[in-house]
Amino acid sequence: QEPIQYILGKWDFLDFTLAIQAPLLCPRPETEELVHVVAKNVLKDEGGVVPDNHNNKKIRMLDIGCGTGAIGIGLATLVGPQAQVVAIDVEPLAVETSMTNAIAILGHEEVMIKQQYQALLCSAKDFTISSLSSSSLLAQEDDTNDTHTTQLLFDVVVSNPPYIPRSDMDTLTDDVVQYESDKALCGGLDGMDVIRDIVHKLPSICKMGGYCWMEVDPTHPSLLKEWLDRDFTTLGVSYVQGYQDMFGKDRFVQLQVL
Amino acid sequence: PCLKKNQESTTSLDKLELMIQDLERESSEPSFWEESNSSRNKYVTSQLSFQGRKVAQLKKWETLKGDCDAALEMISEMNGEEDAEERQLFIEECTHAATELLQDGQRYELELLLSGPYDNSPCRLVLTAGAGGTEACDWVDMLQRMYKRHAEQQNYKVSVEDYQAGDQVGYKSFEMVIEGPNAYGWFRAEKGAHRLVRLSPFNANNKRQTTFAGVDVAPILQDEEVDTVDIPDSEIEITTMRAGGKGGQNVNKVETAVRIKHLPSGINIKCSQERTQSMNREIALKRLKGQLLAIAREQRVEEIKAIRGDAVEAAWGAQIRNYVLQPYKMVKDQRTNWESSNVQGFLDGDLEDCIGSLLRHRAKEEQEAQSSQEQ
Repeated sequence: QEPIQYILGKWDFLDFTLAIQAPLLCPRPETEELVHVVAKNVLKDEGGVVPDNHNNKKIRMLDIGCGTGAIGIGLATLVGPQAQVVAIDVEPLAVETSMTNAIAILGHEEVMIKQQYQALLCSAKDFTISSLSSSSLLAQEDDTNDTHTTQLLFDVVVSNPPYIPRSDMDTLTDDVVQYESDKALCGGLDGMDVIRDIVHKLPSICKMGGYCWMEVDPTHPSLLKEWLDRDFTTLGVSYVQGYQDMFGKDRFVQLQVL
Repeated sequence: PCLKKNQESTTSLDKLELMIQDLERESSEPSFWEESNSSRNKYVTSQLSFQGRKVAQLKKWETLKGDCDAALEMISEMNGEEDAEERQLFIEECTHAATELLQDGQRYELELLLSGPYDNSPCRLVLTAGAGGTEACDWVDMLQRMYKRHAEQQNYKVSVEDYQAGDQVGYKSFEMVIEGPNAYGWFRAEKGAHRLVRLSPFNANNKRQTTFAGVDVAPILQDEEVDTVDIPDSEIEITTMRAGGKGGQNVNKVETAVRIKHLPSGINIKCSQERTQSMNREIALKRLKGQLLAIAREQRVEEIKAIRGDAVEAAWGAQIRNYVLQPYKMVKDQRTNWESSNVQGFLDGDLEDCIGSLLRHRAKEEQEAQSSQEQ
């Protein structure tokens, strides 16, 4: 019953292989779709990928709940050398594993020298831009410098947060619930606890006009739309649209920071 | 007539050689092989090989014609009785050269007919056993051998992609990819049901049995071509093991096979060869587009939207060729009435004459259809 990904210690995602072990969430095919949708959108905005030596402009992306690093690393491979990914997770093993995967897939120099990928132990709720400036290699002179903080704001926030409603947790099969961490699966009563944390956090970590993409439970897009359509002025976040996955489920949402 | 055509094209031999020189110069630039130039360098490389072949062919014909002329001269000078044997040799040489020239010319003429939009693409041939159990599986085996031999004789590259072995013998299905100039154009007329009649070695009473095998031919699209074909999401249905239930984080089934059904035409494509679902989905979609293009061509419609689903089903089952081994021997193509009693030769790969007549027949049909449309 043990998931084959754990037995093998690795599994394919997009066109690379990720190292994986319990209790990290095994990447699902829906998440591959999410990465494709986001990358396509990012590249469209940037007018297509520009060769590294002609453009120093970085595209800063935040992966919340990175797990094995699938989403962040996937985006880095599709977007190219301009991508600069910060990944956070509450599970120390996730921080460690995603860094190992990033180095293996993106390259030692790209990750360690060019800082293309960085993983931090942090929850969505506790994350702030200032927690970055103290650890970033960027200009360290003045932590309270506004321009500096603005530079660190993200262009894109992506997440595959735990989103299963508590009541659905009982319906899960053993191969999922016995091995994969509860923290990586369950999003509270309605499944939206972490999603709500992310929405509240967006205006302070994301550039104005920046997008947030999330993979969610099929019950969530309509709930999110209802909530944001009502409260976008106070929240500073609006609901842009929902996308279906290849199986016809309402799986992805796109939000925008106002 | 062939000789005359060849003569006309020799004046452009110089033009071709100049073109090749230009292309070769371009390809010797250091920046030519860079990643950013990959679509140009692919184009140039294939042009070089294509034009290079043409030049080689033209030079070969010139040589053959030269041989023929020289032999004829020698023959006309040898009038005496004592030269009879030598004369015979020259006659043979001349005949041989002329025949080769004629055959080459005919083949070239045929290739000119292959100018449809995807005719130059590599093609995927899928053979499927019809009802008939072991006999049908053996028939598929005979057909794959026939196509493989024929393709190799024609200097195509053949690779076996997949097969499902029959329970006792042969194959339930067999899939091969054929690559080379005008691969799809050449093989596309093979699409349909092929009928075998023979005394079945698998039949308990050794009775004469009729079996069918389905041959499907579709062009293999290049990545750039894929985007030119657009299929709305509402028209396709994707199924995998994950379908049904909530999916997403709730499920961790690792079945990566993807099944796509195109609703208007009823075509089903399955793909499980790659490691991830998204890869398989891309491949299945690409294959679906290839199939639809092939059908659009058959039905002579401009757009995929115009494909008639009912006609797809009918076309696939349409009997196109009979192969009879007992009580008499005959291969007969239903579309042109081309026939031959050398069934064994045919099954050993000698399809050139039959396919040639088919392609000419179709070109004529297409021309007639076009001119009646224009009226």
